[in-house]
This record gives sequence, C-alpha cells and structure tokens, in this order.
Amino acid sequence: MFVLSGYEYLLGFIFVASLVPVLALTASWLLRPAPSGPERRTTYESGMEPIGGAWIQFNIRYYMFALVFVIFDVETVFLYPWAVAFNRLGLLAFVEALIFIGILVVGLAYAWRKGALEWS
Amino acid sequence: MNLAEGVQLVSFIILTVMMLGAALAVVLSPNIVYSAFLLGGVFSAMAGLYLLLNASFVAAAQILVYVGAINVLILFAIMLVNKREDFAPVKYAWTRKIVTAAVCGGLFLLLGTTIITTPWAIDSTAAAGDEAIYILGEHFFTDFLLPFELVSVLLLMALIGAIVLARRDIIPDSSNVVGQDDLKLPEKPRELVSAGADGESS
Amino acid sequence: MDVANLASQLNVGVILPEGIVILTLLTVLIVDIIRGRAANAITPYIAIGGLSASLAALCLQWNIANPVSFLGSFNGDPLSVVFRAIVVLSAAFTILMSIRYVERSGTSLGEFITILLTATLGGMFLCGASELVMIFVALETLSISSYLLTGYMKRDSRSNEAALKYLLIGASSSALFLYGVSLLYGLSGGETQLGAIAANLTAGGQSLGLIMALVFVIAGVAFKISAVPFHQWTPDVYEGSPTPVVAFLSVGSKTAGFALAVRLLVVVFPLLADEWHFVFTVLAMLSMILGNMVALAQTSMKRLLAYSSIGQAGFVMIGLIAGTEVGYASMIFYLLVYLFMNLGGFACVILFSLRTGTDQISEYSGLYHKDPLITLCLSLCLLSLGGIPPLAGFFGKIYLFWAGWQAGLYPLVLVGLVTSVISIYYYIRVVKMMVVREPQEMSDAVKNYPKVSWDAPGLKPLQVGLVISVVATTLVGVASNPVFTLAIDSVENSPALSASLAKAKEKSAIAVLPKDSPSLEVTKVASAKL
Repeated sequence: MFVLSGYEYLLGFIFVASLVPVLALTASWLLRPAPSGPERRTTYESGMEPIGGAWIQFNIRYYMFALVFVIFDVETVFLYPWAVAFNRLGLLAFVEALIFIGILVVGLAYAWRKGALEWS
Repeated sequence: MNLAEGVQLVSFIILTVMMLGAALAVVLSPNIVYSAFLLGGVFSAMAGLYLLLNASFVAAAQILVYVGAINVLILFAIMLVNKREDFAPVKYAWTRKIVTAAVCGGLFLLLGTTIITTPWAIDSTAAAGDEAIYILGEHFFTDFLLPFELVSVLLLMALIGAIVLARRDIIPDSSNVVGQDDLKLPEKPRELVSAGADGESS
Repeated sequence: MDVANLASQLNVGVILPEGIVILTLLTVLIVDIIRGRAANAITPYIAIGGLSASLAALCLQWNIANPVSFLGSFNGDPLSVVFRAIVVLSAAFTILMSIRYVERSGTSLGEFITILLTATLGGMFLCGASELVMIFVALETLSISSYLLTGYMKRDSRSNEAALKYLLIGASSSALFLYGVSLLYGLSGGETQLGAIAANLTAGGQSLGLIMALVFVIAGVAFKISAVPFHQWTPDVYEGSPTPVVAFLSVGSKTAGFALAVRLLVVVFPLLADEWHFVFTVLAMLSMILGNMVALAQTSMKRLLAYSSIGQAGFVMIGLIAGTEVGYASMIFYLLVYLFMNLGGFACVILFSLRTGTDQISEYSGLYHKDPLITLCLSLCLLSLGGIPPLAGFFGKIYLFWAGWQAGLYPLVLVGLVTSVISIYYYIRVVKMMVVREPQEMSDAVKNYPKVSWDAPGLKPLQVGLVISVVATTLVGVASNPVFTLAIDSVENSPALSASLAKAKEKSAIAVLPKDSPSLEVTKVASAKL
C-alpha cells in the first residue's frame, strides 16, 4: 500500500525527463545531414584538437576528496532526521546531536591538519 | 485494480527489470568502467523500490550516499589505477561461470523457499508515510541513541583510516626523512623457497 | 518525553568505561593533531592511562543494581563486565608492545593508537550489546578498525595482502551475519531487543527461516573467532599484519566474538539449542584437529601462533557447548589466562623480531646463550599455551575439559585431550630449539644478536608488558581458585544466562545420576586436588 503523498508529480517529472534525450536525439537525427568523413567521429572539445582518450589516470587528490566527502555525506544523512524533528525532540536530543557533531568535528580538524583538504 | 495500483505495479516491474538487468551487466561486463556506471543504475533502481515501500527517507539516503558518493568513489578508484592491461584469457573460464551460476541459483532457490515457507510475524500497523522521518528522528534519540552515537566514532575512525591509507607519506613536521625501507614490517619477507615448501593447507 | 525522565531511563552511567575510552581516543587524536610527531612521546601513555581508568570503572561496576541501559541497547551485567575487562586489558598490553614496533616502521603512532582504541571500543560495546542494531554497529566498528590496523604498514606488500584478504572475507561474513539478523527481525515481528526476539520466536516455533537465521549468524560469529572452516583468513592475515595487531586480533577481537556468541546464541536460539550445539561441536573438533595439526608444519613463528590460536579457539568452544554454569565460567577463565600467555608470547616474538628482523622459528635456535630473559619468558608462555602443569594454561584446560566431561561431551573432550598433547609437541620444539642447542649450533640471526639493552625509546613499556603477562601466567596457575570463583560469580549474576542455565540443569538432572554435591563443588574439590 503506497501512502506517501505528492509522488505523482515525481512520476510525471521522470516521464518528461526520460523523453528529453529521446526527443533530442530523434530531432537531430531527422534534421542533420548524412554523416561524412572521419572528422565527424572525433570528440568535440570546443574546437580544440582532442588529445588521447577520455579515460585517463586521475590524480589521487580527487580520491582523497571523494573519501572525505563520503564520510560527511553519511553524517548529513544521520543528522537530517534530527533537523526535521527538532521541535519534537527537545533539549536532550540537542545535546546528543552536539556530541555526535563534536566527535566528527575532531575528524574534520584532523583532515584539515593532515592536509587532506588541500590541493597541493 | 484502480489507476494508482496499476501505476505502482508498472513502476515495480520497470524498476525490477532495470535492477536485475543492470546487476547482471555489472557482473558480466568485461569493461570495469561500464560496470561501475551500471552499478549506479542498480543503486537508483533500489532507491525506487524503497520509495514504493513507503520509505522515502531511505530512498533519498540511498541516492545521496550510494549514487552520489560511493559510486563516485568507486569510479575515482577505477580511474586512479587506470592501467590498460590485457590479461591472458583464463582456460575453462566458462566452467567457472557455470559453477558460479549454479551456486547463485541454488542460494536463490534456498532463500526463496525460506521466504515462502516461513510464517513471518508481520506487523499489522499501517505505514507511517510522511510521518516516517519524524518517527525516525525520535528513534535515533531514544532507543537507538547508543548505536547512533557509536556511528559517529565509527565515521571518525573511517575518516582517519582513509586518510592514513590514502595520503602520501611526506608529513610536514617529520624530523626524519622517510626512506624506502621504512613503513614496512620489521620482519624480513620469507624466502621464496620456503614459501613453497611451507606445508600450507589453508 | 521529558528531559530528566529520559535521562534517568537511559541509565548512562553503565557505559562509563566506554565513555572513558572515547574521551581517551579523542584526547590522543587532538594531542596528535596539535603536536604532530612530537606527541609520540606522550600519546601511548595517555592511552594506557585511559584504559587503566576504564578498567577501574569496570571494576566499580561489578554487579550493579540496574545493568540495562539505553532502553535495552546495552547490558552491563557481570558477564559483559568480565568480557569487556579482557578486551581492555588486551588493548592496553597491545599498546605497550606496539610503541617501539610502530616507531621502528616509521609510521605514525598517534593514528595507530586511535584506531586501536576504536577497535577496543567496538569490542567492548559488542560484549554488552543486547540489541540487534547495536550489535551490528559495534561489530562493524571492531571489524573496520581491524582491517585498517592490518593494513597499517602500507608500503609492505604482505601487509596490503593481509588487509585485502581480511577485508574481503570479513565484509562477506558481515553481510551474511546481517542477513541472518534481518531474518530474526522479520521472524519476531519487528523486534530488535534480544529478549523480546527470544520471546516472540518461542511463540512462532521452528521454521526454515529460523534455521537459516541460525546458519548465517553462526557464519558471522565463527569468522570472528576464526573457527575452522571459517579460518582461511587467519594464517595469512596473522603473517602479514604488524605483530602487535596480531596480538590484539588473537585475544581482544576473539574475546568479543565469544561474548557475542554467548549472548546471541544462548539468549535468542534456545529453540534450536540442540542444533547449534551440534554445529559448534563440529566446529570445535575441526578447529582443534586442524589448528594443532597444521601448526606442526609451520616455519614462521607468527604462522605457528596463528594456527595455535585456531586450536585454542576450539578448546574455548568446549565451554560454550557445555552450556552449564561451570562451562561458561571455565570459558571466561580460559580467555583470561589466554590473554596473558598469548600476549606474553607475542611480546617475545615482537622483541625478537625488533632485534633480529626475522620471525623464522629456525632462527630462534640457541637464543638462550644470548638472551636468557626472552628465552625464559617465551618458554613459559609457550609451555602454558601447551598446558604444562604448574602454569595457568594447564588449569584453564582442566576446567574446560572437566566442564565438558560433566556435560557429557565425551568425544569432544577426548579430541581436546589428544590435540592438546599434539600441541605440546610443537610448543616444546620451539623451547627445545632455544634452550638445548650448543653455542656452535646458533642460527645466523642469534650469532649477530645485538647486545641486550632496554634503553631505546619504547622498549621499557614492552618489557613491563612482557614481565606482567609472564608473572600473571605463572601466578594465575598457582592461584587459580579465586579467579575461577570470580568467573563463576559473573555467570551466576547475569540474568541473561539464567534461563538457559535452568534448562541445562533440568537436562543434566535427567541425564546424569543425582549427585550428593552440586557440580560446582565437585570442580572446586577437583581443582584443590590438583
């Protein structure tokens, strides 16, 4: 039994969104001239000559940021119900959430100090 | 069956087909980058199923954490070790696939039988719906308070561990220069000869 | 809910020891952040101080009036106090012996201690957790920090290999465990408290779902205590990890696993008691046989201790299967003894590898001529692990076998006796190699043995840890009665076990001829004779 409200709009939105790529590709397929020459098959890069493939080795810095991001993303998910139900929960929950945040702030300080947040 | 139920059934079928197809493709695709992208599809379809089960917060968390963070992390990890290497094809690879398929099929049958034959004690209270997020918050701060606080320590440790393992070892305030032999176990590695004649049985 | 009302219901005081550990780890981390590498001189001692304070807090909580805290998430009964104390002690000893080792490898000490303290915290919470979510979060805290510790020497490919193996096998066993736990949630109609689940399950009766839940839960638990056939990770992980981490894994992590087994299996699965007793009997026999047989063929000390720890886990399981008061008590007693003798052994292995850079058994030959202290300590610990009479390990095994015999587990006890004789052989082989060899038969490592000195930073704590554990190994053997009485007390005063104990008593009253004295007295008499 589905009881959530307001999701018919989401359904409509997903429907419209899934039509967009289909329509865009069909429209360009109808309008464009027939493909000719190897130039048409290269990657478009703002008029520059593309060098190498798109799958290159990433820098480890991206990885560090992604790691730190995952941790704080999960933290946000845990804090969201507290924020929504703040009025019902009262003072004690506020203290408890402060402890939760406090422990993670130490983690943030650690990441900062060890240079995990720097692009060096 | 009214319109709403029909729409739910159709959504369920679409999501299930999408999830199973993407999951199979993740496992069977020879290209690991495609696998990683398809994994995002599996996660999204799962979020859709959560939504159909009235768990809107779990669905949002699924998108936010799995698709938004973990899948991106997996992609970065793949791109980080982007070494093009052509591996020699394994002999009799198809037997492995068949055995794996048999094991997975057997497990599926077992779990399926379990689910069908077991008399589950189903809670008859109505689904909380839009109220769920408030109830979740209340649980977090009353009877699930201790796991909730422990999670913060777990996340802290995960952050530290991730940084320790991923950072380079040029520590700004180190007094001694880190050499090639450092950061290793003090014990010497075993000689290759003894490694073969170790009498292993594991 | 009113603030004061909720605060009193939470009964926060019960987790004071864990609170101290959290504060300690935050302090260590902050000091490390502020002072950088210079903090290495103080952070280990802060950690030791915090763990001692936590131990003191645990002692104060012996038999408190209201052990249930956090609305049933955590249970601070004497049983959990004993298990938590063992975990804390093992962490404290591990820190003592890791200072020099970690500094030698050039990795950062502050983070090592922080992660180790988090693992300790996870283990402590696991020992007292009495609710499914709490159990799983604590289990993950323990496991994930163990993976990190295993891979801490990240430039060493052996350490990487160990971490990867441990992570992959550990993650799949966690997933299995979680699946089993979710089946329990469904079978009990949405309960997460262990007591409530047990009550609802009894109403439902046996079903295929319940059996599947049991199978999956056992798989998760057996991985933690590395019972054969869930042991495959153990030798490789033990060989590749930093040695202090191995010491912690083999004692602290295993103790937490046994605490989990007692709480989960005994409380939740009384319906399937015969089934899980049977499964554990098989696991225990396999562990004792395979662990001790394969240990015979090892050439590396760390691998030898890995296989021996598999065998020792098999011995401890006898107490769990016996299911009587004496059985649980002897299990606790053996874990406590095992803590000292195993950590003492690891301290010697660490010291030897720090001085010579190897852990091959053959390199130990003739060590007596160069370093009598290590030789003496290692011999005492190994002999105790083997169960040679005046030492603690002997009494631990006697209690276990006696409890098993009383409960009618004759084949299991016989296998235990035979395999412990086998184990004596490989322990004594090492001792003989160190002591008996003539000076000209010394190995190269021993020939080049550096002059024994305890001046290098971090060696003094290692020495302290070594001496304490060796003294405890010998003393507990001589004075085993008070310690065993303590273990009995902890089992008697834990209401969680009382239901199953009552049932076991009923069964034994039917099966065994009535005796004049209760079983406890018999054991005391027996131990007095010894």
